[in-house]
Amino acid sequence: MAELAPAAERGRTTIADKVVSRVASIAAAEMEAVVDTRSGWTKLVRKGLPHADAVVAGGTTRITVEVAATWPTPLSRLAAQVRDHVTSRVVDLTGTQVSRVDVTVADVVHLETAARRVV
Amino acid sequence: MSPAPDADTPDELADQVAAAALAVPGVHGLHAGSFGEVGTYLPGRRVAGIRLAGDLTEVHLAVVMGSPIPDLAAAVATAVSPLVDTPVQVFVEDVVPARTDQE
Amino acid sequence: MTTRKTLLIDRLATFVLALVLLAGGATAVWWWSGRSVDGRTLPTTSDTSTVADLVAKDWFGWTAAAVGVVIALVALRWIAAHLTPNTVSRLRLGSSDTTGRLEASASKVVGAAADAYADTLGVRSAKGSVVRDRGQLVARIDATIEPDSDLALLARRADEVSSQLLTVLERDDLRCSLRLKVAARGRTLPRAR
Repeated sequence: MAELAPAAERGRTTIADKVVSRVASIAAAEMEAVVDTRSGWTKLVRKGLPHADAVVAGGTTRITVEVAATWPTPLSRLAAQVRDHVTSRVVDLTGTQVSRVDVTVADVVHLETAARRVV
Repeated sequence: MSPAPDADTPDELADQVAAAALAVPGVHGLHAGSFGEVGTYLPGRRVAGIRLAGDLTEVHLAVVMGSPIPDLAAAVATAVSPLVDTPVQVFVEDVVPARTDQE
Repeated sequence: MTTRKTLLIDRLATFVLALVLLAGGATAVWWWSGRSVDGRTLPTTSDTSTVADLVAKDWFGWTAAAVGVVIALVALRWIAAHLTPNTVSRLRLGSSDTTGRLEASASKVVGAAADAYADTLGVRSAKGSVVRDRGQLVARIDATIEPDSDLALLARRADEVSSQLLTVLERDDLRCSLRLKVAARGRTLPRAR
């Protein structure tokens, strides 16, 4: 749990670590070339991506993100965009410091083939 | 869930706290905690996500992705504070993606 | 997967073994026939006294043990060369820095490339992998094509897919290798009964 400074004069806020992970994984799904395989037809053929894990320690957060990209997206640029977007979203939304975001493109989906597999 | 006979009258404190928290924009819902352990037992039912201890009021929430969570939690604490005599602690337990059709 | 060096050694060893077997077989035939070749015949009895003398020497035991150990080590190394997979599982992406390590699953990237190639008319199936061959990263796509497919189209698509793959990965050190295998028979088309 990440303790924050008193939010109101009479209260405190606690943000669960899971929330940081969830924010990171939702942020990763906001990228255009990232396929969301957690629902819909892609769920049938792929494992649930994007997926993020956050480790909060000593006020800073270390995040690992796994995403699925569409073919043919240049992965280096995409991964850097995911890293930057996840970092800014987590910092903006949760107020925690992010020390490091590791991004793995764990899957690449050729959409036509994937669609045909299900049909 | 048994409807309270005096539903319109200011009923249980837990219900009021829950209503105040849910009224804050950006709150998706109350959250019963990782193991479903957080709640207040009332006669015949349970208000999940609210715990009224003698010296602390806990509000456990799931929020909608989009607004800074510390600000949102502060808003909830501010909304709940007038109802209770104790300090309010807000626990943000989960985030849900913003629905694209609401943006 | 094995490296080219291992394959070369395998072929050399097979060749040497074949020569030894040929020579052994020829000698056996020669001995059985009892003919004279170049005016010489093989003796009908064998004399092992020189072997017995050699084995009786003081240094023989130690030398035999040492040679045995060396042969065993070479054998283990040889087996190991065949067992170590040199498939690459993860590729580091160029934009990695201190704020995060960026990687891609090699098999999935090339798998998508293979899927894209398999989308070509005339390609029945394709699968891909990334291997390290003598320090060189090679993306290998193996495709099975129909017997009546348009080879010019396949070659053009191969160029397209490999250039797409280079764009996707942005790595200069990657080479693409695409192997086509012609399917034995035409696909049996579903028929109404």
